[in-house]
Amino acid sequence: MSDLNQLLAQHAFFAGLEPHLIDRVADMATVAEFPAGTWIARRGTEAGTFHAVIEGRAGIELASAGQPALVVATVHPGEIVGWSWYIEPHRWQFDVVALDPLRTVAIDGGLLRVACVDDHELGYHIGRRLARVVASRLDATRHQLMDVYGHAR
Amino acid sequence: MGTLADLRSIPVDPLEPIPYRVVELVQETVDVITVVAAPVGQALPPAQPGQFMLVWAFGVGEIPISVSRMAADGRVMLTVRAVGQVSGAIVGLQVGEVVGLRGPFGTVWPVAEVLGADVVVVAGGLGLAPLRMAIDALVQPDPRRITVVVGSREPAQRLYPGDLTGWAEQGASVHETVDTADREWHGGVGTATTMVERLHHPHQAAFVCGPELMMMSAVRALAQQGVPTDRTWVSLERNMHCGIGHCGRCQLGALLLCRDGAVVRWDHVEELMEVRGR
Ligand SMILES: Cc1cc2nc3c(=O)[nH]c(=O)nc-3n(C[C@H](O)[C@H](O)[C@H](O)COP(=O)(O)OP(=O)(O)OC[C@H]3O[C@@H](n4cnc5c(N)ncnc54)[C@H](O)[C@@H]3O)c2cc1C
Ligand code: FES
Repeated sequence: MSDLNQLLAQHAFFAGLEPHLIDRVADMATVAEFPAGTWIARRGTEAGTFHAVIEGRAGIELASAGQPALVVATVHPGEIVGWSWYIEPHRWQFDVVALDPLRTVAIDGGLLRVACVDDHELGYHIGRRLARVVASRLDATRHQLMDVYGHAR
Repeated sequence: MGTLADLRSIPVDPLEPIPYRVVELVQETVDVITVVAAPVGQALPPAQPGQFMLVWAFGVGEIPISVSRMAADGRVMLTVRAVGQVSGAIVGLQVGEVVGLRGPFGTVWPVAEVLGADVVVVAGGLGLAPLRMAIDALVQPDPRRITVVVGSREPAQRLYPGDLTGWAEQGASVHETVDTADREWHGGVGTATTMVERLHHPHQAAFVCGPELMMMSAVRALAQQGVPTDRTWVSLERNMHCGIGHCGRCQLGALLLCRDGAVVRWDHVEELMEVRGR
């Protein structure tokens, strides 16, 4: 097994995926490194790649006019950055920055999308995993919006 | 004439506030202060981890506040956020002023029962205050078995940063998360539950305290990770009045939380927590 296959097989997002499916994803992937403070994605640009984080933290940032940008979520090893590559219009919804020196497996979202249409087994497993990530982020966002710590206990 | 030691041994009437003088004020965050109060004469019995006092701000009113730490000389530490009239009056106290304390009341975190197990402590916001003595007691004998997850609104609202560093330096695994931050922040951004979901180490027991919504979601995540519900304790803090099981103000189902809580085992309250308020 190549290093890349191994990184993917050990990553929580891909855990349990059959080896032949890991091989397919590995064909579209490469290891990427980002020094702390560099952009991984910019809001509004084409979401061509998504990242399985191996080392370091990525920060999802939200900036509104005249306000300093705020990190609204961090993405840690074992988690992924980005699902916009999967859903139209395939544009990043947020800015994403490396908060630490960051190592990821960068996967070509365009190729993976085509592969998911082509191979429904792969499509099902990737879609299910993405739905889990989206559901968990949605739940977290709801709790953050409630500003639970802003009130008395 | 009786000595101070004699005075200290007289049993106290649980309904009578005992005077304590404010000897120090620690500004924890913009709206949270730790009041350090020493007995003027007679001292109350020492509070155990998780217990609370009823704190009387003279001329204003009385509210329950958890004991965040006890000193050997009887000094009591109370960490308070100003949210209304009485808490506002307590946060506005000056050194030298006197408050009335009743207590300690309520159940305790079952530290002895979980020692030797891998324990995760989850605190949200001010929920770290009633857990502080429990974490001290857990970390001291066996820090490597203790995981602490702390959620705050933002880095400036973190409580007891010195303690968090101290527990980590002793060997406990400390994970902090906030709702929002700037890039300088070293921890996670997201909910305490998301942080709990990141823990890969299995735990056999959990202590959880914070806003109720946060506790319910964290407890669900802990259960999914295999922490048994009969080894999970939460602190339920409802409005209180008498503190001694007489008035019924703190009732939750068959429980009177001033007496049967605030620390309760999750499987004893799980169903009651699903009942919606009106
Ligand atoms: C066992 C126990 C331990 C507590 N420990 C602490 C502590 O260590 N530090 C601390 O700052 N606070 C603690 N609290 C909460 C504290 O008692 C309340 O903030 C206080 O009663 C508010 O009184 P007030 O007159 O200042 O405000 P009020 O004018 O009575 O209320 C102001 C706002 O706070 C809300 N509120 C009042 N009481 C509570 C409560 N118990 N839980 C949730 N919301 C409430 C009200 O709904 C209202 O929105 C504890 C409560 C309990 C029951
Ligand atoms: S506060 Fe009176 S019964 Fe609990």
